[in-house]
Amino acid sequence: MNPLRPSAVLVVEDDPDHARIAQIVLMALVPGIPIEICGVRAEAARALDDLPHGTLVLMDRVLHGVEAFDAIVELRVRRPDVAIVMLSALLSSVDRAYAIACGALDAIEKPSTLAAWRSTLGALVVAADDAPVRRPPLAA
Amino acid sequence: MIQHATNAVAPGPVDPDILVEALLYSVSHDLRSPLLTLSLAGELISESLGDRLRAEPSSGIVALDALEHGARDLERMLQALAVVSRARRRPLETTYAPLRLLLGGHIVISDDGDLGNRLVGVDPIAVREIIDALVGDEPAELQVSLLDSYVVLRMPLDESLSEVRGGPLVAMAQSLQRYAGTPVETLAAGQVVLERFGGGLDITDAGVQLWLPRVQTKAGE
Repeated sequence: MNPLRPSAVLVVEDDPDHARIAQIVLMALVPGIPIEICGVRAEAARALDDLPHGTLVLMDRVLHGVEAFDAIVELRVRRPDVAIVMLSALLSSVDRAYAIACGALDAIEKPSTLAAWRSTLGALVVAADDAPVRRPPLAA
Repeated sequence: MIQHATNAVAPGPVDPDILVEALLYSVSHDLRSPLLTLSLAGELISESLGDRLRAEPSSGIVALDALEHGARDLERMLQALAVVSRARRRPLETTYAPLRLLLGGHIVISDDGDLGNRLVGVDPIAVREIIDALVGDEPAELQVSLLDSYVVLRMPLDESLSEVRGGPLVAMAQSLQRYAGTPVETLAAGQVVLERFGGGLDITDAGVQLWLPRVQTKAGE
């Protein structure tokens, strides 16, 4: 998968520590672009309204105890221009396929080390000057 | 998706298998989340303060190392639960597979003649993966025999399994601390998959045994 060059990143994550860690890693990888955090699923769509075309959404798989696969469908219907990547503490090949079927670009198991976070998210996004534009998917 | 499965079975008693599956998933998923927080927080502290702490030996660096070791150990055990959980949830396609499909590339020893055409009711890819995980890619000696309604594949015992007898899943349930991350973990996942076909896996003095359910043909084989 070619890395994305997102115009902004929205981290939808109910664990504030994971969200902050993702934000720290992303700030180093794609400096200068807005990186917003949203901890509540119901607010994700509203938060996305304020973010530009080509935003990348990193969506936690379980938000406050509820699986978020259908949230991917909802967000993609509302904003077909965004790319959504699901993150999960535990992921099987079936879960990944289901996330992609719901409209996610990919689904990734949360790495257990900082180096792996940098490498995983680094394979996903690059700063504006480092890569050709990869257009996000257009249809849900 | 587990959550959907359990929600769909109310009211009334829930299938114990579904409950066990949901519990396994909860433990391996939900506990890994705070564990990640601990490990990553430890690394962030180490990156920002580690040099200073190491320059002046203090309880701080001891605490940091302890945090790292504890998190690594927990990760190892949670991964073992995740491996079992995945084996339970993995989609399987049971079909009638001739033994030669499962044993190709290995040296087959049998007192029951050529069993290559005998059929077993399994997902051949899943069984082949179990065999490969146990004996590796190189040709290995596998003993094959017929016993009641099973074909039994026996492979040599690894030294690391010398203290384990019976079902590897039982061994792992008795001591996750001891067996997580070892070959017992791989065998336990194999046992889960084989039991889903109506087969089994056990460890005996003679070796690791895979029990594959036979399919009787019209020719009586």
